[in-house]
Formats: sequence, C-alpha cells, structure tokens
Amino acid sequence: MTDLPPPATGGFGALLRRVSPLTVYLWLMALVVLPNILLVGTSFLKSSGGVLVYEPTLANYSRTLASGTVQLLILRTISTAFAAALVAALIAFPLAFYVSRYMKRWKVVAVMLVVVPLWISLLMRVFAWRIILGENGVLNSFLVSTGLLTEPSDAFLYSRFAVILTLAYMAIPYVFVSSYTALERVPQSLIEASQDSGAGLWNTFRNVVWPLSKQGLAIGFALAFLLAVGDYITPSMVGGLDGTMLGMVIASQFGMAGNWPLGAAQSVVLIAAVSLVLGLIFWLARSRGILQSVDAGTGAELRAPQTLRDHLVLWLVRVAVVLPYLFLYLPLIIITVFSFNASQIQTLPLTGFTLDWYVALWGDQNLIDAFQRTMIVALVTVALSVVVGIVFAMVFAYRNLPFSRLLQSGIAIPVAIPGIVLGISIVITAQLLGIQPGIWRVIIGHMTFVMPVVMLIILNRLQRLDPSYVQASLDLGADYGQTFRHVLFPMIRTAVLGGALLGFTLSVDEVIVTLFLTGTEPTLPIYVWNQMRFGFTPSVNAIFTLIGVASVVLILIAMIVIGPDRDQEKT
Amino acid sequence: MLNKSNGPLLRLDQVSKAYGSYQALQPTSISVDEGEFFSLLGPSGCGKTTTLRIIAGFEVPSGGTVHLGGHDITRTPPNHRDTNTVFQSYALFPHMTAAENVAYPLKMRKVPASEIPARVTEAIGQVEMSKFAERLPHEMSGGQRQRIALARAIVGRPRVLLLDEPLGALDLKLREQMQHVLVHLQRKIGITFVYVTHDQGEALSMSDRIAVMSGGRLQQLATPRDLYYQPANSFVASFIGKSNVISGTVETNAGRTVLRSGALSIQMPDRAAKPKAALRYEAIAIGPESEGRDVVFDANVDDALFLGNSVEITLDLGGSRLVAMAPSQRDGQVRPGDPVRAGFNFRDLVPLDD
Amino acid sequence: MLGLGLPRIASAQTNEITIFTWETYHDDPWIEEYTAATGVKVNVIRTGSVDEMYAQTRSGAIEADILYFDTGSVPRYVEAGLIAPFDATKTPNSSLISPSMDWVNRLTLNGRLWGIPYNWGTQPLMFNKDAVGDEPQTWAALWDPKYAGKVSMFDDAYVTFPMIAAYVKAADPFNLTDDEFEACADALRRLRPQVGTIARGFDDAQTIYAAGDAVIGYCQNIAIVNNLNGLGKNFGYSFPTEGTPTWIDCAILTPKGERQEVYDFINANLTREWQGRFITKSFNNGVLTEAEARAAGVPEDILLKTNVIDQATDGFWKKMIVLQPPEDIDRRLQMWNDFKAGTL
Repeated sequence: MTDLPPPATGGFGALLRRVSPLTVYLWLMALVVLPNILLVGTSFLKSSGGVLVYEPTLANYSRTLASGTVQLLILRTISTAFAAALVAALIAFPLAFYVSRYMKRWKVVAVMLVVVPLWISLLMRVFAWRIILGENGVLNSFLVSTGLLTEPSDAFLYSRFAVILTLAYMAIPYVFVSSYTALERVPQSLIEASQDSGAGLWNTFRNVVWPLSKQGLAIGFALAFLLAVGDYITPSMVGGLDGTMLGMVIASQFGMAGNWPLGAAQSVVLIAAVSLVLGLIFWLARSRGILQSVDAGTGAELRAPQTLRDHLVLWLVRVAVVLPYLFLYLPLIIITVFSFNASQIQTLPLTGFTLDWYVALWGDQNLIDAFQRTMIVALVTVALSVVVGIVFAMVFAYRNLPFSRLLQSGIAIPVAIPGIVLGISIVITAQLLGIQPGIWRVIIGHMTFVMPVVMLIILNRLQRLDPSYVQASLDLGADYGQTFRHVLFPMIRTAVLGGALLGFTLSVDEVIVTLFLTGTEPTLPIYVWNQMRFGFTPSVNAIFTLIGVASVVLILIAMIVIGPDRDQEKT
Repeated sequence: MLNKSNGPLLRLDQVSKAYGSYQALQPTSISVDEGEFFSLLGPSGCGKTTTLRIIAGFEVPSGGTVHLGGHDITRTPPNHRDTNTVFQSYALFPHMTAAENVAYPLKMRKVPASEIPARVTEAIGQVEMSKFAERLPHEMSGGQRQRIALARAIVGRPRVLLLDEPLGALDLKLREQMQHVLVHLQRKIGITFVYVTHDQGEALSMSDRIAVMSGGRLQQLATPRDLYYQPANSFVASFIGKSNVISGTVETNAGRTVLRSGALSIQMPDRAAKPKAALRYEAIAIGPESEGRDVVFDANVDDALFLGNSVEITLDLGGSRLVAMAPSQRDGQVRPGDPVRAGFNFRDLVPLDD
Repeated sequence: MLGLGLPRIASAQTNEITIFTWETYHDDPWIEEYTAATGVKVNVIRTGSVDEMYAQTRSGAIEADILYFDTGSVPRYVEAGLIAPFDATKTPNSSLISPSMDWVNRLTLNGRLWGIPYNWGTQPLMFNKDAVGDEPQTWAALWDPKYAGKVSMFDDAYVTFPMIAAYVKAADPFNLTDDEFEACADALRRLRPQVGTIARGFDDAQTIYAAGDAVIGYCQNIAIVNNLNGLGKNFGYSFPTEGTPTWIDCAILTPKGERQEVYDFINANLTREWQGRFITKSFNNGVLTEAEARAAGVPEDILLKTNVIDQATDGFWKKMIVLQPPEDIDRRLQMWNDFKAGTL
C-alpha cells in the first residue's frame, strides 16, 4: 500500500485500477465465458444416439423454436416464475418497508426470521406444503372445520395455485432482503419533506419511497424470478402434470436422451427469454440521482391512531406484518410435528409420538457429515463471495469499465442457467482447469451464483452513495484500508450482510448444481435428495427441526447478547 | 384569510415532549405573530428542533396544544398543515430535478397543473436559481441545494415557514449572503418564519423576536435588542453576545447596598440589587474613555486579543477577572501587564434572575 | 493453491474402489465389513435416478469404477465409450445367478459381455385394494374414468413407454412402428386427465399413495406396495396380461475399473451370504434362484414380499418385458415431454 499513487478524484479508482479489472475479466473468463462457450458451442453440434458429433448445425435451434411444447413451457415457466415473484414482492415489500422503517429493537431479528425458513431443505418444504395443501391436509381440515368448505377440496394441491404459492414462498426472503437494504437507505428526512409538502402516505410512497427503493426491489424480484425459473423440481412436485416446466425438459435432454446439443439449445433459448424479462424489469426500475444523506431510516413512529381510518390502517399493517411470518413458518411447524410422528411416512393423520428420529440422528454419521460439509461449503462460499463481491462492486461503482452493464449482466448469467446445465458446464470447466472433485469444486461452483447476488446487492448500495464520502476520507489523510474500514464499510454493511445472508441461503439449499460437483461426499441437500428417491427417513425432519430451532434460538441469543439496536437520540 | 386581529398566528400552549424517561421539552408556551421572523435559539439538545418538529407535525407533543390561525393543529398530520419546512439536510428528493422538487408540494396540494410551471419558475426565480432548474440535487453545490430547498418550501405559500438550521452546512461567506436572501425574501413574500439556529449572530441579525432555549426550557423570549441588553438570566447573558457574569454577595450597610465579587466591590444605587448581574464586554470602557463612569477601577491587562474592529481585553483585578471590549485603534495598543483604568455605568449592570 | 489442506479424492490409489450405486444396494455396514475383511476401501456414491447417473458419469462429475444400471441402458454407455467389457471368468460366483434371467444374452453387445446382474425388479400395476375392489389385470385400468385424477405415474420416459406400448399392444415395445407411436400418443393423450401427479421417486410415490392422492398407478418398485402395507394400508399389485416391464440392474465396469480388486468386490457381492442379507434387508430380488435364496437363509415372509418365488413359476419371464434400448429415445422423450406439457 506504500507506493500507491496519490488518490485520484475517483476515490478508490486508483487502487482498483491496479488490482481489479483484471480479476473481473478473469472471473468472467473462467466461470462465465468458458462454461457458456461450452454451452453455446454444444448447442450448435449434432448428437447421434447420445454421442456428440462435431459438425455444426442449426437444427437444434430450429427444432427448439418450432416445438409447441418448448414454446408453451417457456411461456408457462416464465409466467409462473413471474407470478411467483410478483406474489412474493406483494408480500415481502410491504413487510420490508415496515421492518426497515418502523421497527427498532427487533429489527435484525425480524430480518433474520424471514431468512431462516430457507435454510430448511427445499424438498422438506415441498413435502410440508403437500401436507398443508393435500386433500386430507391441514388447509382442508381447517376450512371444513370452520365451515368454509362443506367437504375437502382437491383443488389446492397439484394445481397452478400450489405452484405459485410454493415458489412465492421461496422467493419471499430474496425479495425481502433486497428491498430491505434499499428501503433502509431512504432517509427519514425525505419522507418528512414529502409529508411537509402536503403528500399523504400514498403519495409519499409513490413519489419518494418507491423511486428510491424500486431498484432494490427489482434486484430481489429478478433473483426470485431467476430462482423460480431454475426450480423445476418444486413445480413438478406440487403442480401435478401442469407443473411441468421447461427446466424439466432440458434436464431430460441432458439425462435420459443424452442429447446435450438439444438441451443446450433449449437452455440458450430459455436464457435469452429470461434475459428479455430481466431487461424489462431493470428498465422499469431504472432511476437517477444519488442519496446525499445517509441517515438510516430508524426512529419513525406510526402515528397513534386518531380516527377510524387510522385504526383500520394500523390493523391492516399488523396483519400485513404478522401474516407473512405465519406463512413462512407454517411448513417448519409441519416439519417439526412430523419429526415427532411415529410413522415412517409423511401423511396425516399423525400416528403417535416418538423421539426415535432424534435418537437415530445421533447414530447417522453420514447425515452429520453431510451437515458439516454443507456448513463448510456455505460459510467458505459466502466468505469468498463477500470479498470478491465487494471488490467487484467497487470496481463497477468507481471505475468506468467499458461495457460495465454488460459485464455485470455477464457475471450474473450463471444465476439464470438451469441447474443441470450449470452443473455440467462447471464440471467440464473444472476438468479443463484441473480442479479436482470435492469440496473446492462445490465451493467454486456455488460461488458462480452466490457471488453475483452478493455483488449486485452491494453494487446497488454503492451506486446510491455519494462518492465524496470516500474522497473526503482520503482527503483527510486516511489510507485506502482505513477509508474502507471506517467510511465505506459502515455505509454498505447492511447490504453486505443482506447479500451474505442470501448467499448463504442459496448455498445451503442447492441441489442440482451440487449434484454434479460433490463427487463422493454429499452435502445435506444432496443427501436428502437421494433419500427422497429411495428410503426417506424422518430423521431428516429431525435434523431440519434442529437446524430451524437452533437458528432461531441463536438469533435471539445473539440479539440479547449484542443488545437490540439503539434508538437514535433526537434533539 | 389573514386574521391579524384574532391574536397570534401560531400559538404553542404548555407544549412538552418526552421520549421515554427523557424530557426533551419542558412545558413551553410561545406565540408567533403574523408576518414575524421568529427564531428559536439555543445550543444543541436544547429542545429547539423538537419544538420545530412539533409545529411541523413530525412529532406529536406529549402535552399541550398547538394552534395555527386559531385552529387546534396539535394532532394534524404534517401533510395537512399550512406549514412548510426547510430541512437542515435540505432533504431534496435525489431522483427529481430542482424544478421537480419545487413543483412537488404544488402537485401534492392539488394545485391545477396549468398554474404549476409559472409558480415553480417564480419560486426558483425568487431564490435566483433559474439557471439550475433542470439539475439533479447531486449536480448542485451545497448553497444551490439550500436555495432549492427554500424555493420548495415557499412555493406552496405556507402560513408559516419552518427553517431548521438551514445555513448550518454553508461556509461563512455563503451564510452571510443567505441571511440577506432570507430576510429579503421574508419581507417580500410576507410569510411568517420560524427559524431554528444555534448561531446567536444569525438570530440577532434576522429575527423580530427570539426564543432562547436551554435544557428543554424556554429561557427568555424577547426582541434581539432586549435579549442583548436585558438578558433574563446568566445563560442568556452568556449565550447572547459576550457578557461578564458578576456573581457575589449583596450587603446592605448603613443605607448603602454593596455588591461584592472577589476584589470588586460596587456601591449599588438602589437597595433591590441582586447578587448576580451581567455586564457586557463593550460596556466596560478602558483608559480615558472610563472618565465619568459610575464605577471606575484600576486593573492590569492580563491578555489582549486583536479582533480587527475591536480588542478583547482581559482585566486582572487582583484575583477576579473582567473582560472588556474596546474599539481597536491604529496606535496605542494595550499589552499584557499594562496597568489600566476602567469603568462602567450602573445601567449596564443587568441584574439576573438566577 | 486450491485444495490445500482440504479433502480430495485419491481416486488413483490402488487399494480403493469407487462404486456408483443406489440407496439400499450397498449399506454402509456391509461395506465396512468388506473393507475390514479385505483391506480394500470402497467409496460409495448413491444416485437418485438413471438419468442423473448417466449425466454425472458422462460429464465426468463422478469417476467410478463400477456403475449399477439396467441392461437396457448398456448400449448408450457403450456408444459413449463410458464402460468397459466384462470378464465373467473373474467372478466365479456368477454361477449362482438365476439362469432363467438369461443374463448373458441380455448383456452381450457387439459380441462382448458388458456386466453382470446384481438385482432385478418388476414394475407392475399397483392399486389401493380398498378403492379398486377387484384386482385389475390389465393396464387399461389406468385409463378407467373411475380413477380420473387419481392415477400415479413416475417421470421416466424410458421406463414408462414400454408399458404404454404394451397397453396399445405393440408387437415389440422397443421397436415401435410409426402407427404404434401414434397409438401410444393417443393413449398418452387419454391418460393425461387421469393422472393427478407424477411422482419424483420411490419415496415420493409412497407418500402420494399414503396421502390418498392416488389410488392406482404404474409401480416403480414393489417395495412401495410392501411399505404401504407395512403402514397398515391395503395395497396390492398385479402383473397385467399385456406384460410387465422389468429391469435387471447390473454391475458394470468403467475403463478405470478393470482391476482385480474391482472384480473381487463384484464377486463378493454375488455370494449367498451377501445376496441373502441384501434380499432380507431391502426386500429386493437380488439375483439368486428361489432355492438359493432359501439356502441363503432369507425368511419366508420376506421372500413373499419379493418376486423371488414368482420368478420360479412357469412362464414368468415370458410375461415380463425386460427393458431394452428403444429404437429412438429422442422421439419417446419428446412425446413424453409433450405429454407432460399437455401439448401432445
């Protein structure tokens, strides 16, 4: 750090000029371009009886585009994912608004509690939803017992409703965290200025809060949308036949048919269609201006209700806050209940109380190993992704790289690639680069989709920060390290935390890509995945109950030890 | 619309505010007249901003009432109050241009769209920012943002304009310039100003009346002149301008009342003297100027600070100290150690209540 | 730099073999026992589906010495150059394999042998006896409007298509003519409204039946029926007159698996003791004859839950449709995908 040139007007620009653009290009090359060249390249090859024939052809594309099934499934996949992201946004955004602006003491707890349900394996949550939505399920029992239905309906499960509901369920935390980090940065003074100008709640939201937070929402929405597009397992398990998504067809080309070129072409078409939607989302969310004041949005108070209308609003607000939590924790309650159920099989009615599954857990070394591996992978992945994500976000924020937008989207591509395709591309790339199967392969594979998420959330924050803070710090004699530690990091801390949380969540529950990377040592989701096909044991319920309970308890303990957020003093 | 005859435009009656156990504002009553330039002055934490936020409607008082134009607005939300605020941080909407920021209150108050451009242009013109109408906030300097914030607050022609340390972030020169702009503007548009500041100079130069606050309490409410010459207590005396606070004992002996403070012993003209009094620096005359003053005494110069147009001289009276302010002179400057004669008049000795 | 101090797979080590198998095929205690007895370390990787195994092997994600998959998949592995010919002389215990399986014939391609059986199973018609009444003896039951929305299938074109072909009475379920394809398409179209959901796997199917979301269906594995009955349900299965698709899973070598210790492991897997325990613990069929299975000490009640006794009956294998490589998996898969999408 000693021989750095004097800080230029670009703040970190000078430092970043030396180290970083190269790393951005390297990352793109190794983890985006190379796998994608393989993917795109393969899509122009022929396949004969499951074997690649190295002859260029456009046949895969003409077949893909001409196929009514592919057309229908692209439309269905995209519309379903969009609907799920939309539902998630409608639930998560108001919640994020409330938590970020009106909660004080339990703010962090409220945020963490939204994310914890996603640490429970996808498959477990799907099973839980089946138990809730099934003909003999919880929802039907409730509706019949309250007299809302005269007899159980089979319309809930194996329907589009179930697909959108479960996908939205998984999307909520992503939309929430991303929106939260954006909303938190809308200064309270701007909201007051708007009220002062005569704007009511709605106008203040529409004209001030929304323009300043919609980009954050868009990132969360895009993430939720991408994950929903990529998840073909959930729709097929709760949606019945009509839950078939394009990912399923693509996976069958890579698996059963062994027709990689066709599968690759279908993937490329899907990625193109998804990119269009994403482009549209970000175009709609484009905004201008830089936030100059950085006072966090704490301390606002809901006005004490005066009129009937106030009471109504307050009541609605309470419902809007509590309901999402109920929604998020319902499947976990189901999992917990079944971890004490005496039956091998997960259906109602319950058959009796047992602790056998917990006892069995202690003896199940494979399960415990898998859990440990999952934690190592997730923590290392997140730690590395945060470091790389911060550096990359700073490169994009403070350096005028050519084609910056394009590069950013490029880095994010792996998030949009169907799991099986990404898994195969990474395996082949890893082999080309000489990375052995095992934990490092998994970590690097996970980083391809975790890092972009972390980066995007931090970048969104950086782009809204006044660069003069950094310049001021450098000007005051702080070196780059000090400036980062004392000035920049405190301002992006919540974004880093949010990104890390989402990254952890993504890593901890990943199945399809990991399947191709783990080699002989499965992670917990893989273990559960394989169990589901053959010989599922309710011990899995037990371990996830423990994980869920431990997470919640740890969060609460941490909060009590660290102490709740201090209220800001007012003069 | 104007109802001067019905008493004050804005009236705070026993308004108080507590945050939990912390009493930010003790019960306070203040009245502001129509067209008045009214200032709330005090150090940070004195309760002035809380008072302003209660008037603006951002805080609901824990007790007391707020009336505007005879109507109780204590619990009226900010968007339904006929007040506008210039925020300390300016609080310009970063995603809107200057013109859009200024148009915002008009749109929110449902001013017909056809009227808006003209009024925006007018308001921006009044703060001399016409050239910058299409800039985004981050493309403007601090002073420019300040003017736009002002334009946004006056464009809706509120009955009361609230200004929360609006000049705090500006440099000295800009600050003085803006003081003139504000006073000029206030006279021109005739809006009542309630101005929060910790800068006594600012308050004295611009205000019609000033409420001095400290520790959540109103210390004194008076015109700048009265505050200056008749401070009610030692806090006001030391906060407004520069005063010596003489604190001692009053002795009545054989019909004579004497205030003793250290080496100083003053024969007071009346019997009702208080043991504490304020004496402005400039009320103490030095050298030949002290001839004929009611009280004359000898002292040594302890220190002399040259301030340009004046010299601040610390006098040592054999243990106790007094500070005098004398006009500076090209020749004959005083130096530390010089013996001098000094004096002041009884009427400059302001008895303090505390 | 990467991999420093972190676990790596020492695949090239000689005293170590890696097998790519299925849940219940090689339980950990058996493997530990084997290692203790021979000093050969066995890495076990379990797959979730035929497709996953193929994709993971082909992409190089998993480099195993032995793969376990069915006879019908042999040709595509051969074509992709992923497997090596098998030398049965190195596994003398192959003499214990039930000869009625006709395995040498089924595993010979291009004049060479490509593996050796480890387990086999049937995919019959299964049903909830309480809901169905008389035991149906034909696949046509799946098309019965009575069961609309309550039919369960599983997502595997490779395995499902032969059943559909059998239902439309195709001459050779693995070599369909265009007309027969059209008949299959028609059958699938009519099947769609019948199907409530497609099971993602064995356990999934079990849950679906147990929850009452399906009452009849194409059975992926008769263990589902056994398990459901073990839970107090009343399920049964039948071998329909049109024929029942059947698979024979074999131990198959990759090129790097052509080593003596690998052959030794496969040979050990064929002993009476190993097979007897395998059948007893997992209710799989193994590869023994009825007599050998009894000799291996498999209890009678367990034999009844398998097809080991069935296979000894006359003409059993004639009624079975042992999976073979289809004429055009692409075409079948596309039709199946169209079926799922609802565009067929």
